[in-house]
Amino acid sequence: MKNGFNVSGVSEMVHEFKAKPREAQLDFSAQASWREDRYDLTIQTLNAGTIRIPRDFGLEVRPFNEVINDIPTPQELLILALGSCVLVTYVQGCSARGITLTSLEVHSEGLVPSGEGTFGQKATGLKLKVDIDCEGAPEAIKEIAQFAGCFSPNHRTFVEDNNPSVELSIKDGSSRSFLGELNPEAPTSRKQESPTGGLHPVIAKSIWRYGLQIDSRLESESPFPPNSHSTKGQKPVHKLKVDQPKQLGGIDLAPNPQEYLLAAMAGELAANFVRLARREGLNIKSVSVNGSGRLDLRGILNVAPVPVKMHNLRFHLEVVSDASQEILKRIAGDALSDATSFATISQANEIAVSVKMGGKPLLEFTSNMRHVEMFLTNMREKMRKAQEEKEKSAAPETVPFYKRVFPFGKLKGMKQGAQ
Amino acid sequence: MNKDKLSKAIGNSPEANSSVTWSNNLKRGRVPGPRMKENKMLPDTLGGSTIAVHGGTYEDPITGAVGTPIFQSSTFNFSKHTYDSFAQGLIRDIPTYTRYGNPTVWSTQEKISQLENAESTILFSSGMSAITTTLVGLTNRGGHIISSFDVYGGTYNFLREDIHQLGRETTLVDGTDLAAVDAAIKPNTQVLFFETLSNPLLKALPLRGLASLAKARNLLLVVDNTFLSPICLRPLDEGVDIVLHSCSKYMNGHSDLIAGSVSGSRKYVDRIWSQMLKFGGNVNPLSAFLLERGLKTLALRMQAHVSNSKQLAAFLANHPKVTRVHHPSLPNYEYPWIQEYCRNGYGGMVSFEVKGGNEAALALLTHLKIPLVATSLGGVESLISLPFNTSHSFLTEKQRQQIGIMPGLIRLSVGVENIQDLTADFDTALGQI
Repeated sequence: MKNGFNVSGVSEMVHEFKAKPREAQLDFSAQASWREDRYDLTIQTLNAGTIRIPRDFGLEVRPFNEVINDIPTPQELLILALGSCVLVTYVQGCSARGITLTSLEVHSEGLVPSGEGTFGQKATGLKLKVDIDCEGAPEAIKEIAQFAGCFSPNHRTFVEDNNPSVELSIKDGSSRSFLGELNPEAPTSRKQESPTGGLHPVIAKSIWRYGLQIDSRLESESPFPPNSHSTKGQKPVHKLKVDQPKQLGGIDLAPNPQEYLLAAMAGELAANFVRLARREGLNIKSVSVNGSGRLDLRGILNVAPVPVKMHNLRFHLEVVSDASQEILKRIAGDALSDATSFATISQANEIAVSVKMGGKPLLEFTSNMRHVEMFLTNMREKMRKAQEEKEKSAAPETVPFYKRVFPFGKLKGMKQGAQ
Repeated sequence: MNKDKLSKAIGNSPEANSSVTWSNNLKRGRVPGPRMKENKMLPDTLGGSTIAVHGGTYEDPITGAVGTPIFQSSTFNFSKHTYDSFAQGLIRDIPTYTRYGNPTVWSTQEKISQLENAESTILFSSGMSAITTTLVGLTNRGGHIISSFDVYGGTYNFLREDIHQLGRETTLVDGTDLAAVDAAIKPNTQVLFFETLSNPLLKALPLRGLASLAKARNLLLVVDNTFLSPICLRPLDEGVDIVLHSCSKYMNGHSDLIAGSVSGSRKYVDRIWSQMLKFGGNVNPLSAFLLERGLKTLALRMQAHVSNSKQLAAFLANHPKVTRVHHPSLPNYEYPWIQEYCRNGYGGMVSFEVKGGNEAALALLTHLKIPLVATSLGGVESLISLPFNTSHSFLTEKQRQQIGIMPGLIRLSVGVENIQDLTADFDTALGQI
């Protein structure tokens, strides 16, 4: 174990995924539900290759315009999903190079819309501030920082265009109607009538504990004036944990960054729908949004040229109401148009990255797809040259591992494809 | 021993160091084992009896001893490979501490791997330790396990009394009913856990159907193959993911040891091993040695168990004091699919019901001279017991009848004694009830 991270386990996955690509496919899902004035997020069973991994996690969220201490907003979860994923990628990168970490923090920040007239705008001013203390050489950490931009799946989801699909179905009494796919509308005049909001800073501090366990603090400033809510303008601080399933190197302590991303998007869509339906005085019994997405670990591990980002993003909004289908569909479309998380994920973003090592500035760059592609091209060229050098000076072919270990030849077990 | 040679012979390192650019450059892939170059490896073409005798044996390079030595040591000198194994995460492959692994234990594990056609095996201090560690290791909090109504009492108690406290839930069904198993699957189901031949009614699983179902639904199929042993059935060859045994039974065969084993792919067995490190439950080297010695005669013993049980079942089926016999060799056996996958017989268990109910059954036990009245099974000696006052005494009579345990049911583990002696003993004793 290096940094509490099972390097052998990752190495075994690398070789397994080369032989059995299906095992690299992770299908995540999260559900947001609103019922009786409560918004709940539940993380659902992860289908990981040919096995299932139940995820026994639930958390409460609140709409962004309701200030309640200890309950995060979907927008905060979105920013957390970015920073915590990047942190995991640093741990992976450092551990693979044998670098022992002393401390690692990743602060992810963004400006998100905070009221009428601004809903539906994407998050802006995205920043990642990395503070690392470790035994590694500065040049190695610079390289890892660049790799993190390339191989952190949520980072890639932020810097690439995405096309999440959203479907709607309505339940009315015992009947269920599937109303098809929703398309977010361009901001309507509705949003310009009474702008009350602005852009509001959201900060997620992800602090590495050990292995793949992360403590996070969401330290957003309240966008609302003192005394306007029950919490009287206190600064909400939410503490959440982030981890991975034990089959993926974690200890099943908490949702992982991909699950937080899906939870953020599903939660915001549900909250928006309820807010808009209430404003029109509709009788809504319950709202649920199921979000799912795929991660192919071959991309993260650079095993194959497959998407690194979360893909196959799909959301299903189900509403139980006796209101007319036409009205509900319009509100659902508006709820989607208002969703900051969908707007942010749909369009490629730039992220300002700054890295400190031992408290001293080490590196600053703007991460976007152009930067990612340029870095990967340079790395491939560097590795190609290194390989050429290696081949030039190569010794005669070495005896395969199994022949050294098992002089009797390939054995059963090996033939059935141990990876 | 040359530590450097030994360490190089086992495991392979991911070589996580400054030469690695990204994770795709890591070197370690899963290899079968753990094993050492001193362990005797045999080709697939050899028969089960040859593998039972020779497979996995530690061939001592210094003394030439023909049997595996007992490495009765709790700990092993550190070398640079030991330190590397900690840093790189391959401690299962390096002799470090006997709870993690031990050369004697590895040798016995290797023999079982070869018998089961498995990549990897772990030995445990008992069959129950193997079961509990496997079920927890292969599931997560919030997970769901499907098992059988009539699973072994120790397993049943764990599933009923403990596993929910670890955040897992269980549904019990009739494991021979594929449709019932399918219907019990939920989104959080992770493991199907059944016994290949049930206790005491010897119901056989529709193994290939279950394996197909598990594969189609992304579930792990774990089976307890204690009643059949790898001589009669190699479940991994039939699509099962993990096979486990109470090695206290046929695998050891001499009723003088408590142990368990788990075999399967290195991927899943490593996961169970990681759980074992935390739960404890490893076998000790002396027990591993005894088990390996017992395993050498497994094929020979199973031939005798299979032959004797078949003959005794036929005898009992024709006896006027016997109302019913449960045995796969009989024409009225209700689970014919066992013949698809058990080509070397059906183990040594026979269950039968006598006229006169439990009272007559108890009387029979007092008249028998050869079988010993005791729990357990799979030893060279015949053992006999009544489920109603032993393994299934925790059930009400109504519950027992619901699962098919009728009054007068007797469970017999047929030993390797002379079959004429056994038959005569039963004939005499039955005549006295």
